[in-house]
Formats: sequence, C-alpha cells, structure tokens
Amino acid sequence: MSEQQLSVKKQSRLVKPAIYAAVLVILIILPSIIQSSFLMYVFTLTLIYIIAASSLRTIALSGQVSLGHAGFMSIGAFTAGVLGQRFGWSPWATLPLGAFATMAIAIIVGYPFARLRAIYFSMISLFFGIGILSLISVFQKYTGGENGLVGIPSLFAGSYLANYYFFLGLTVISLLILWRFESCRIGLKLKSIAQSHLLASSIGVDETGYRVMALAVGCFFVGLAGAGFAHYNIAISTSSFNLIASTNLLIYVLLGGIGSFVGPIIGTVILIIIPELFRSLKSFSPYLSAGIMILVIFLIPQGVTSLPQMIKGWIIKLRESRYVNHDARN
Amino acid sequence: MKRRKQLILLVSICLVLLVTLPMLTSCGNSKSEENVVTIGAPVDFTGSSSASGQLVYEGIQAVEEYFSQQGGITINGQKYSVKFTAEDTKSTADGSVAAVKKLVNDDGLKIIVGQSTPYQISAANTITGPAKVINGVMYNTMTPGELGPDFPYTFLIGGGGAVDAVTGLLTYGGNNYKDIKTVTIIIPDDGQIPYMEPVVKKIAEAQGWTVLDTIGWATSTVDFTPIAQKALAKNPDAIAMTTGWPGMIGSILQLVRQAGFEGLVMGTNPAEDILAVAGAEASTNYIGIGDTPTDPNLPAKAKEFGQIVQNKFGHCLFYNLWACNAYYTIVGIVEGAQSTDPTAIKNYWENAQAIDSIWGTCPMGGLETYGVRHDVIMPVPICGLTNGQATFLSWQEITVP
Amino acid sequence: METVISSLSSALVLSSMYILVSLGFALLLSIMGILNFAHGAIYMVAGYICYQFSVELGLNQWISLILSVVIVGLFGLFLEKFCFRPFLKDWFRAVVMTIAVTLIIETTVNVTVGVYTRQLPLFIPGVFKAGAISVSAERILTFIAGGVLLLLLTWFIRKAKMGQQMLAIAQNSEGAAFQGIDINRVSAIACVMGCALAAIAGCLMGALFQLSPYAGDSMLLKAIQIVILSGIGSFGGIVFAGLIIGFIDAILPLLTSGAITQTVGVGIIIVLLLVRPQGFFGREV
Repeated sequence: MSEQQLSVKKQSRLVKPAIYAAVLVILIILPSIIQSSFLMYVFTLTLIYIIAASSLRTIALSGQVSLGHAGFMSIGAFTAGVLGQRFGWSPWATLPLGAFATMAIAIIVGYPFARLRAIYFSMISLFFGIGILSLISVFQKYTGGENGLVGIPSLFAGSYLANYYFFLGLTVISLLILWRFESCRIGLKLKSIAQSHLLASSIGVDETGYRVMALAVGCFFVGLAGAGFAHYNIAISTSSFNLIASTNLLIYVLLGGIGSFVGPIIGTVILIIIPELFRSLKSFSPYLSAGIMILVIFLIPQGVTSLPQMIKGWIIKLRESRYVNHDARN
Repeated sequence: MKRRKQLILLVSICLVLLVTLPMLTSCGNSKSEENVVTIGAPVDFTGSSSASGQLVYEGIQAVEEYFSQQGGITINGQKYSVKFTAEDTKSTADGSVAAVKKLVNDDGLKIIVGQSTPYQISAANTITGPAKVINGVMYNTMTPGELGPDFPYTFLIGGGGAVDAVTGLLTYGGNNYKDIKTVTIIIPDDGQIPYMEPVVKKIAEAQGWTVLDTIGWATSTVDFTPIAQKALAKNPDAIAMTTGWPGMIGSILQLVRQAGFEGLVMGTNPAEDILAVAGAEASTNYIGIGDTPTDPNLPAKAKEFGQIVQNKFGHCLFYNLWACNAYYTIVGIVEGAQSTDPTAIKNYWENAQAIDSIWGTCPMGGLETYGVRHDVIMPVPICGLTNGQATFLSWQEITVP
Repeated sequence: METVISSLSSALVLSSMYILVSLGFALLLSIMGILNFAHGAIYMVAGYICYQFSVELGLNQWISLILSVVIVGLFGLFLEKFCFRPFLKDWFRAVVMTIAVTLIIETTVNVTVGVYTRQLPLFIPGVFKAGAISVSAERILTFIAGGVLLLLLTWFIRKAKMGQQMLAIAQNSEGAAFQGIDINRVSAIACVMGCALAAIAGCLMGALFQLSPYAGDSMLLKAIQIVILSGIGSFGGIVFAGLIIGFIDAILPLLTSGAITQTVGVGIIIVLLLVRPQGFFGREV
C-alpha cells in the first residue's frame, strides 16, 4: 500500500474511538449543561434502557429474538424491590442480586427454550414475558401485584447527580462486557450458530449450551437494568414490564439497527428522549413515535447506525458524478 | 426516487436536530412568574385510562377559564391568576413518576392534583412527600402507599375514593331497599383486596347485610362470564361492585340479568355509561354513582361548570364535572389558606371546617379510616337505571370517620 | 352439576369468540407468512365504524356491519401496499410498521371518540335458555359466525384456486411467480380478506364488549396465542387451540383468583409449546 493509503487507513481506524471518546466526554459534562433535573432523570432512565436493549441484542445474536425481555427485566426489578422494600436489604446488595436472580431463572428456562428454533423461541419468550408478570401478581402480598411496590430504597439517597454518574459508569462497564462477549471466541461461535445451526453442530459446537450462555449473559444485564430501574424509580409495577415494554425494547434495537453494536444505543436514545421533549403534544404524542418509526423504517432500512455508511455512499457518488461530468466535458 | 428519499431523510434529520437541541437546553429554566398560582396536573393523556384522562383535561381547561373570568383569586390583598400545567402520565406507574418529576422538579410547582390510580398515586407520593408538595389525589383504594400519616401532604380531593363511593352507594341501598339481607361484593384483584375487603364488609354490615362472598377479578379480564357466575353462585339478594369501568360493571349487569338475576346491582359508574354498555333490557334495578350534567337539580356551581364545558367542548359528561370539582376545590383551598406555601395550605386544609366544592360545602374527615383527617367528604350523587331509563336519584350524605 | 353445564357452555361460546377474532390474523400469518400486528387495531376500529353508521347515523345495524367490513377490508389494500409489500423479506420491519399503524389508528380513535362510553346494541336480542344453560342470543350468533367463517376459510384454502395460490406464495414466492401467480394481486386480496375477517369479529364483539381504543390489544394477544398453539399453517388446529384457551379463560377464574388464572393459562401454553413447538398441526417453519 502506498504511504497515502496507509495514512488514510490509520486515520479511519482512529475515527471510531475518537467519536466514542468525544461522546463520553459530552456525557460526563452533561449535567453542567442541562439545567433540568427532569431531563437528568430521563437521561438516567435512558442509560438503564440502553443496558436492557443492548442485552436484548446480545441474545438475538445467537438467533434467539426474545419477545419477553421486559419480563426478565421485571425479575430483576421485583427481586431488588421486594428484598429492598419489604425486607429492608441494602440496595448495594439487591442490585447485583437482581441481576443474578434473573440470570439464574434464565439458565433454568434457557435449557428447554434453547432447544427451540428461532421463531418458536420468540413465541415462547412472548408467553414467558406475560407469564412471569402473572406469577409476580400471584404473590401480591410481597410484590403488590399491579399496584406494585413503592418506597424501594434508592442509591446515594436519591441524589440526581450521583445516580447519573453511577448509571453512566454502570452502562459503560456493561456495554464493554457485552462488547467483549460478542467479539471473543464464545461470541463468534454464537454468531456462527445463528448463521447455520446445521453447520455449527457438524463441527461439534454445542448449540444448546451456547444459546443458554447467550440467554444467561443477556438476562444478567437486563436483570441488572431492572434492579437499577427499581432503585432509581423507587416505584415499580407490573404495568411497566408488560408486552408493550418488551415490544418497545425490540423496536429500540431494530430502529438502531441490529447489525451494529451501537444500534440499540441509538435506537433507545431516539425513542426515549424525543417523545419526552415533545410532552406538550399530550394525547397526540403517539403520533410522534409512530412517525419516527415510519420515517426510520422507510428511509434508513438498516437502522440508524447504517447512516454514516449511507452518507459516505452519497459523498462518494457525489464525487464520482462530478468526476464523470468533468470527464464528459472534456 | 432514491435521491428524493435521501433528501427527505436529510431534511428531517436537520429539522429534528434544530427542534430538539434548543429544547434540551431550555428545559428547566422556568422563571417563576409573579402573582400566578400554578397547579400541576398529572393526567392520563395516553394509555389505557386516556378516555377519562381527556375528560379530566377538559375539566381543567374549564376551571382555568372560570377563574380567568373571575379575575383570579385574592391572597393577602394581591390578585393572583390561576394556571394549570398538565403532564402526561401514560397511564403507567413510571409515566406517573416522570410526569410528577417534571411538574415538581422542573416546573417547581408546589401543588399537584389529579392522580387517580393506586399505583400512580403511590409512585407520585415518593416524590411529593420529600419535596413537601401538596398532592391532591382523586381516588383511593386503601393500599398502604396511597394515603396516611406517612404522607402528610397528600389529600383526597376527588369526591373521596372507593371507601367514600362505597359508603354512599351501600348506605343509599340500605336506606331504600329494605328487603336485602345478603350481598356479594366484587373487588378488583390488583392488590387492594386485603385492604378494601374489611372496610367494605363493615359498611355492608352497617346496613344490616351479610356478606356472602368477595369475588376478585383480574384487571386484564376480557370476558366477565365466570365472574358473573361466581357472583350468583351463593344466591345473594344484591351484588355490589366497589370499583370498575363501564365495560366491566355494565358487562356484569348484563350477564347477571341474562342469567335471570333480578336483585339490586350496585356499581360505581354513572347510569348513562352502564346503560350504553348493558343495553336497555338489562338496565334495571341498578344504582350507581354520577349525575347527568343536564339534571335540573344540580347544585348551581356544578351547573355553571357544566355550561362552560358544554360551550367549550360540545359535550359534558359526569367525569368532566368530577374533574372540575377537584380543580375548583383546590383553588378554593389555596384562597382559603391565603397562601401558596404548601405547609400553610396543609395546616389550613387539615383543620378546615368547611370546604367549598361544586357540589356544595363539605366537611373534612377520614381520621379513623385513613389515619389522617385528609378526606374531603363530598356527598355522593346516586343515580339509577329503571327499565332502561337513567335517572338521578338523590345526593347521599355520608360520614367517613 | 348445574354450574358445570353452564360453565361448559360458556366456555364453548368463549372459545368460538376467540376463534372468530383470530381468523383474520391466522389467515395472514399461516397463508401469507405476514405478522399483522395491526390486527387488533383493525378489529377495534371496525366496531367504531359500525357504531358510527348504526347509532350515530341511524342505519340498520346489519347494513352498518357490512359497510364497516367493506371499508375496513379496503384498508387492507392500503396495508398491503405500504406495510407488507415493501418489506416482503424482512418481517421485523413489517412488524414495526404495523405497530406504527396501530399507534396511529388507536390514537386517532382515542382523541376523536375515545371519551364516550360506547357499545354496539345487540344484533339479536334475547336469551336462549335450556335447562341449566343460559346464553344470550348474541353470543350464539358469534358462536355460529365463528364456526361458519372457520369452515369457509378452511374450504377456501383447500379447494379454492385463490387459496391455493396464497399457500403457494407462502411456501415459495419465487416458484409461485414462475407459475404465473400475480403475487401482488393475491397478497392484496389476502390482506383484504384478513382485514374483513377482523372487521366482522370487531363488529360482532363490539356488541358484547365495550368499545375502547385499546380493546384491540388484548384481542391481538389472544389471536397470537391461538395461532401459535394451533401451529402456523393449520386451520383445524385453530379449533383445538381456541377450545383450550377459551376453556382456560372461562373455567379457571371460577376456581381460582385472577392472577393465578393467567399464570396457569400461560404455563399450560408454555408447556404445550415446549412439547410440541410447531403447535398441534402446524407445519415446520
């Protein structure tokens, strides 16, 4: 490769990390720009949902698209909530406990579920999401059922700033772990299983085991998000984790683009923050969400994260056409 | 075609950025205006309760117009105009938290009125409590997080909650239907049964009735046939539903009538709504709560608000008046306290002897029932269905100890 | 004994109501491979349209039903052109599109007439009594409608040329095109049928349950449950699936509390799915 081409390559390799660093810096100084504590609340919630959406994508990578992810989130949330509010455990204990409880349940149901192929897994996960909420309602005495739990102990005594930085850190760490999981050997094997399960089993990859692992890892983080949600929101109810919530998580992932790691992040940010800014629409705000969905689906087929490539494509085409014109004139 | 798509995309992204970025930085910079009393209103604009939410918002707008016509209220010699800020709660618990946080933290409001679902109320209390913000709730189902000594700034303003409604309904039933000896009660199975059941039983027994059974129903129930069957299983003289929406109460009425039950059916919804659901044939021997806004016997203030709502929106339903009542009453309380400070308002409210509402003057009460004297005890409008006709029956005065 | 008989009869009727509701969804999923998440919203809006014609405008209720079915059926054309045709291979995006459509329909109904308490008047008044069984004539009407439509649909798939063409497209769309089948036209007709079936269900059920902008959500869920249980591609299975879910919903609440009913119901479905993922008679996907 020529010197020029090498330096171009070096430059493009630096671009991505530079963007991430810039975003991180902005996020760290965000509280000083944004005066509104309500917006800080929205941002912190977005961080929590980013963990949930990204974990959904991780599971989807193994070919299992879960339509009941909010159900797993509720396990983490109610474990933390019940232990914290009813039994007075410290949030620092219940936060990881929520995550582990969700992972444990994921492993238990993962084995029978993982045997099912793609679309059947989706269906059964849909029912699981609904069923787990009913199960939580059965134990109303502890969980409050639909009325839910109120007064869950919070982290840092509810300080907005502290919670924001805590969840920012938690999200970054979670994303790093998920990223590592995806790109390491295990993750690659998972993707190969998703591509062709016949081929994968022919080279001796234990499909079911890997699928369960993906489910367990994904559910650990969504349980973490759920427990975080419980401690941040202080009030939870089964109505926050119903089928609509599960579908929303899926839409966040799809909107951003399932092919890219940052896809769920972008999707979550767009679909949570924009409607919150347009609260003044009142009864009409679902029109906005629907509009965003339609716009993105029609105009950006691969999801929002494919935008940079699309723009690159245009720029190249633009340059080419100018080149052609120049040529033609000669 | 592709070019056009790309152009649209580019334009829309620019538009979105142009609109959203300024909003990000401007949020939370609300300046407190002089001489304005702003009351926050968490309303269910979207989600499952949005039907009543929209009616509530219409009521809010009517009350705002009323006070602007009146020239506002007077506090310590100063004229104050009255404004309401409504925020969407999305009919969920966390939506409620978000709405209340916006009102309390961002807009800095000190008084909010409007929550009506138990989990929304409990969720809101976690914010209004520490912030010492007056939280006027429109309903109550006796669960621990809703009302009580732990929530010194939360008051019941909507015409009471389930307890007040059931007291009015059953008292009227007891006074006017002397041949009832046994009753079956139906309560939603959303966590309130352990708290509501003993209270309702006490009220029923105060009428001299024996409660045969308590039936719980999941709020996600679509078809109420099994509930109706269970309700009739022990052959009660009457059936009482402590809360529900027209689709549920009307459905139960229709089903029990089809099964041949002719006894009294008591529900907490207005007669017109139940008539619309159950149909003329089943709509008989039902008493409910509500008043036709066109009833000539409406108290004067209620009639006035009914007119305002009718003029503004082309209709007036009972829930419009119910909302007008709550928001009119809170403004009156602020004026009565002669202060916009929540603690001053709270002290005035707790000890007030008479509260002005659109149904008339009401006492405060509820010390024994809720643990705090925070319930505005409003008379309960009893309406009924007879042979497919909806009529207003009477105002039932109640006592809530 | 009496309660047993009356419970059984109400369970039977409820099953047929669920089957009626799920027919349109089953048609589009099994035959066209299309997941129509807008099914619930279409079901709901048909009821409102029928109400508009019959109660607000005073037309005969049966004529209003026909009008509603026609209008909603034509909406199926719009759905096919904008929601399904652009995303033939990409069912994810088609689903998101139908969700967006659902949001738009629900919100529009909500802000226009959502505040009013409405239910369609009974199409057939009266109660049918035979011993311990007491069922309203309206429910019997829906029972019959569900059965008749199911039979018609099954015949259509097995015997009618158009039905066979639809099946062909679902199994192998390129092969079908080679055979000279006009995919767009057949898909459009399928969507019209699916929407029309949803509309019939919406109008009939609109007389049994209160009309509400969000009434479609729970019905969509039932339809999904039934189709999943019966297996994609099978219509006979719908009978069994409908019976199971109908019986669970009608009988369990009599025995236990609401929350337990739902948990047990879902549990049964999950177990059945684990044992036989392709549903009762479904073909392997």
